[in-house]
Amino acid sequence: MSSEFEVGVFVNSVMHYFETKVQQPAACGIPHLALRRQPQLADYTGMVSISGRRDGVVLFSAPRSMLCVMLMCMQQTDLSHEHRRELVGQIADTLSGDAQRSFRHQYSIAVRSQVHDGEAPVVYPVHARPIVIPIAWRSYQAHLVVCLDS
Amino acid sequence: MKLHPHEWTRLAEGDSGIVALPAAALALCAAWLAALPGASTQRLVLAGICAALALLPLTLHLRRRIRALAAECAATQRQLLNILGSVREGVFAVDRDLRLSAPCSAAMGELLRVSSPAGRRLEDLLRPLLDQETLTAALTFLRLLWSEQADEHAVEALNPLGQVKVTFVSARAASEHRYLSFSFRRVAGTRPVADCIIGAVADVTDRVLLARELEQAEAAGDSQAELLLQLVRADPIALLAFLDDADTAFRKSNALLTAPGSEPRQLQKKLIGVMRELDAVTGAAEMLPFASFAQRLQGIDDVLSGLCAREQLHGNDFLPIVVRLDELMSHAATMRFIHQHLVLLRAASAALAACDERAALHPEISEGLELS
Repeated sequence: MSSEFEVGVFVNSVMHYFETKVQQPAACGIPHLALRRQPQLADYTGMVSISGRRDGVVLFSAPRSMLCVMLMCMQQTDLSHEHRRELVGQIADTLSGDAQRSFRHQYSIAVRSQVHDGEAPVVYPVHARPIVIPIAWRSYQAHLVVCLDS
Repeated sequence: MKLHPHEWTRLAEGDSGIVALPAAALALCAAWLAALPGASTQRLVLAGICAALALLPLTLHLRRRIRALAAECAATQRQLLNILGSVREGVFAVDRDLRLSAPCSAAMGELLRVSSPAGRRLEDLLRPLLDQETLTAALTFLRLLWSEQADEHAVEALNPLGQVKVTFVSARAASEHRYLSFSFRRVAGTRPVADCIIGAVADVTDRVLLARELEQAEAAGDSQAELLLQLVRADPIALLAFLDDADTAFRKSNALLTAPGSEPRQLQKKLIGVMRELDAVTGAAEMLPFASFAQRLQGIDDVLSGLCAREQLHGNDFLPIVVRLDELMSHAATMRFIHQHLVLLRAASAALAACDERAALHPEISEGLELS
C-alpha cells in the first residue's frame, strides 16, 4: 500500500525531470489503480526496485516516439536504441535518487534502478495494487507506475 | 577599511610600545627645538625632520597592523560564509522591518524554494507557502518578539511556525507538501540599531511523517482488535454482502477514474461519480456498523468534497483519492480474510463440540477410541 507522500515524491520527481532536463513541462493525468491486470508497459521502461521496510517497484514507461522527441529537445542528435535506453535509465536514476533523498531518514531502503527490457515480467509485490499515473507530454503519453507493499 | 575603537586600542598594544617610545622621544625633541626662543630657520627645519622621523616608524607599524587586521577580518568573513554555505538549516537575520538582512545560509533558498531571499521581506517569502491565518499569526509573533516590554522567553514559546505544513506549487500546478520548523531568537547588538532577530528554518518532513506513521500504527493496532470484535458479532451473510457491494463500488470508482477525459467538466463528473459510488458504501458501513470502514470512507469523502469545491482541477489532485481507495480495498481484503478465518474457527469449534457431545452420549465409543 503506497502512501500519498511516497507517490507524490515520485510524481514530483518525474515532473521536475521534464521541467529541468527536457525543458518542457509534462502534465500529470488522472491516476488509477491497476486492478484486473498488470499495467501495460510501453516500449522502454526504467525500473526502480525498492526493498527494506517497504518493498516494491516504481516504473517509468514511455513509447519509442516520445523518447526520440525528448532526446531531440535535449539537443541530442543520436536517437538510437542505446540512447533511448539510456534516457529511461536516467529517469529511473532520478527517481531512485529522489527516493533515497526523501525516504532515507524515514526508513532504511535499498533502491536499485535498471532498464526493463520486457523479456521478463515485472515482479510486483503480491498484495499490492499498482497505482498508474499517466504522464502527458506534448502529444505523447508515458506512465509512472508505483507499487509498494506495506 | 573602517576600524572600531577597540581595534585602535589593539593597534596601540603589543609591540607598538617599542616603536612608540623612541617616536615619542623624537617628537618631544622636535617640539623643544621648535619652542626655543629665537629659533632660527635651521632649527625649525631640524625640528620638522625630527618630527617626520618620529612619525615614520609609527606610520609603518600602523600600516602593518591594519593589514594584519584586514586579513584576520577577511578570514573570519570567509569562515562565516563557509558555515552559512554548508549548514543544512536556513539561517537568517531579520531587522525591525521584518526584512531579511544579508547574508543568509545557502540552504535557506533551497528550503523556501526562492533564488535570493536576502533583502526580501519575510512576509513576502512566507505568503505563498502559508495560509493567511498562520501568516498573520507569524507576523504578530515577530512584532511581539521585537517589543521591549515582552518577556523574550515567554514570547518564543508562542511561535506559530514551530511546525508548519507548507505547499510548494510548481509551474504546472503540481503541489508538494513539506513540513518546516522555524525558530526565532532576538539578539541584542552593541547599538540598538544592530539588534536583530536570528531565525533558523529546517525541513522536518521525515520526522513528522515518521511520528504520524507511528501514531497510525498504534491506532491500527487498536482498530484491528476492535475490528475483530465487530466481525465476530456481525451477521456473516450481511457482512459478505456488504464486502461484495463495497468491492463493486470501489471497482466502479476506479473505472470512472480510468475512463478518458481531462476537461474540467469531465473531471467534475468523475468526482461526483466516485462520490455517489462511495456514498452507498458509507451508508451500509454505518448500518452494520463498521466504524473503521466508515472512518476511512469519511476521509475519502472529505477529500472529494474539497475537490468538488475547487474551480480548477489537475490530475495530481486525484492522487489522494486513489491512495485512499487503495487503502479501503486493503481494509476490505483484511476484513474478508479475518471473516474467512472466523468461519473456519467456528466450523472447527462446532465439530469439536459435536465430538464432545457424542462422547458424552456413548462413553463406550470414547473408551474404545482411547484403548485403540
